[in-house]
Amino acid sequence: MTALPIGTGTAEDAFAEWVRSAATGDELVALLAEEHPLYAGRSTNETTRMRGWMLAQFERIGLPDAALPFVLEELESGRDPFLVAAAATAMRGGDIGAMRSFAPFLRQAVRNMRFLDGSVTFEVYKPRWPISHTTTAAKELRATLAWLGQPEEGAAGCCEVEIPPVPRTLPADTDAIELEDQDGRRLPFRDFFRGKPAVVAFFYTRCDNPNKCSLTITRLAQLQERLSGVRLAAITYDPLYDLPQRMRSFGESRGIHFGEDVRFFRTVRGFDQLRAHFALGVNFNGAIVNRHRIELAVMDARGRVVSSFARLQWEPEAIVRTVQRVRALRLVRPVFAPLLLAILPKCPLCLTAYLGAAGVSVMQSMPYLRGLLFLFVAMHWVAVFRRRRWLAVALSTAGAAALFSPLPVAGAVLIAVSSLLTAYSRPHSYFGR
Amino acid sequence: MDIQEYRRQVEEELEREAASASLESVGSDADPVSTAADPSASGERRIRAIRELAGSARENRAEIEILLRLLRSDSEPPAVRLAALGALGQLQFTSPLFNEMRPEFIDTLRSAVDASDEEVRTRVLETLAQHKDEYAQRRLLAGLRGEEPPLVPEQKAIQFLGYDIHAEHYPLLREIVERSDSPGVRREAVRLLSSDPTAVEILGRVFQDRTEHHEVRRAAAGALATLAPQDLEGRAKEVALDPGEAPALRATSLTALEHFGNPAALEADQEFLERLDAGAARTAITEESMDLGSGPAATELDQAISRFKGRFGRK
Repeated sequence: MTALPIGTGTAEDAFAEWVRSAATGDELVALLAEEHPLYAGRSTNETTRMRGWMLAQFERIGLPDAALPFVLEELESGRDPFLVAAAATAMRGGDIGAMRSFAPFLRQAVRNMRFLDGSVTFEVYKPRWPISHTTTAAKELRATLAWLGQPEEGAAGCCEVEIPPVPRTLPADTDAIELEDQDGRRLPFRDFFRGKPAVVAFFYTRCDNPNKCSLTITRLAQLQERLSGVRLAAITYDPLYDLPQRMRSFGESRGIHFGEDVRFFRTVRGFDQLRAHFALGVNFNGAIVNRHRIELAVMDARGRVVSSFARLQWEPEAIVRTVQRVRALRLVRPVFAPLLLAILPKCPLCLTAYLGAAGVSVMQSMPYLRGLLFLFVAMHWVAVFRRRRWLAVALSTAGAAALFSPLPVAGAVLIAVSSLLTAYSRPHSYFGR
Repeated sequence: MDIQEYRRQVEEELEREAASASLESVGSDADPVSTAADPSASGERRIRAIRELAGSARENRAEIEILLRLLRSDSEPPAVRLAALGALGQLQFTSPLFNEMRPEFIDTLRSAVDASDEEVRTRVLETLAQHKDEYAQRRLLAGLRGEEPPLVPEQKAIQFLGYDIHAEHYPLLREIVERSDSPGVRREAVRLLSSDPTAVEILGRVFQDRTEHHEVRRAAAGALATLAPQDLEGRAKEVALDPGEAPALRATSLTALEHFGNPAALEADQEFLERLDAGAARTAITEESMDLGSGPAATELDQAISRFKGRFGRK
């Protein structure tokens, strides 16, 4: 992250002054990331004040493209009048032509705030009532719609919004993560998230914004109806409080049907590694979540995150499409990888034939032959080992040894058998309903 | 809530009902808007007029604004301000106009948290706290931390913060449990700590502290049952078997075990049941109950033992 004069432990007043007088748009964008250390150990109210204060500055300093997801997120899901008013204000710092297509987000915010609006001000940080110059979320939303020349009434949800991808971090050591499910069963992270593609959402039962965790789990239940052969999981941000029974009750009351491939988890060990592995947008004050974004990840059968949906609400249809892509890749790879392995030359005879076809076998000597052979055999061994098919690994090892012995033909046969074993030992079908 | 507090609330409620009956006997006001706003009218007439407005102002913005003005003004008698607050409270649910006037309502409430009358301050802060209002929480916390004069008594402030688990008062609550001289304040703090998973250690300590007030310890048992039922199990068994403990606390421990313990483990632990059933324990309980003159608590314990045995004893 960018080195800023603001960070963990900065006093709120100093922060507010710096934001108003010195901060650039890019600096504010960096600070808006939920996982930023700025928010660690701060209260929810403090976090809300800081974020709202920053968002409101975009009207004055201009709205960078990278800040738009934060603005849209508040408009779509926010329920705090201060943050929503700030987001509406921030939009007026953007290019009017570009902002016009986001009018439906403003209308959605008007609906969200219908029963929740309050009196706010951006003139003073941490104001003390009574104050004379206040505004409201509804007033700011109307002002922004008027600025865009858009009517207050109209359709909600319109546009495909390009959200920057979640910054990828190096996968953390997931071996350190131990999970407990909604029935109190404990298991290592890899036991659930390897072997099949998986969709994992994040939530916590004490989340007081129904547009976030509650809606996420409700949509996960809808997703369950539309996907099979894929593991579905939800992992809590609040592992100390979300005991198994709480997770079960939260899921069931939102339509989740738990089963071996549909489970909710809390971490009993390795929460930091989990947070790093998924680059989670969440922060804490002690054990209490002070801020989080909406987030969901699609993982391949090897436990790697292949796609992330963050910040804006996701539609089950989009997840279904992503999972189908993962499945397609998964069907293609077992066919092509072993085929490639099979056609690589794995003995002097094959290599000679290949080189002959390429017109180079007429050379009197091939000093690089042994080196090439060694390279191919090593590649084969690594590929087989990574799939953890131990019989195939043993055959490949024995074949490699035989290749460099007086029995090269036996070695070639053993390696070919090893390739075939690797190719035909994964019988899962991943077609959905 | 302790019994004295409950009694006080019931008495206040009865007084209010009596006052309301006396006002109703006077009859309705011809012009409730003018009467409500008229400082020269008697308090009784104004309160009656305000109550009428609670019904008639549902679709009248100007009348709702009069009620807001009455609540905001520190020069109005506290009874009038409280009546206005009550009327606005009703209108929140009955007026189709109220949602768009909510910001003005919140603004008015925030402006009234420094009211000179304690009852007005308390009711206003409670209303804001129920709305999880950031400003009210900020002022309550500042009072509890000693950064400014407290707006309401410590016990009330803690209760009000309890409306919102995100009010971030947990570090302060832990401090209050350690330092407060008032069992009532400590009990409220312990109750709210039932939402703080990092408080398990301190709650366990309070629960097993024989020098602590038994009401505080009961609250700690309840909090532990919420946060860490497994952690509670061992501690609750110890307390339930200890003849030196207060019967009410032993009963609470057994009830907590019954509801939050692992049923299979409790059924398997016949030694615990036998010890619970042992004559020595029962005698000690009875003697202790007599010594302390806590008949109802002893009965409560007997009932808890009987219920527990009925559920987990060998059939």
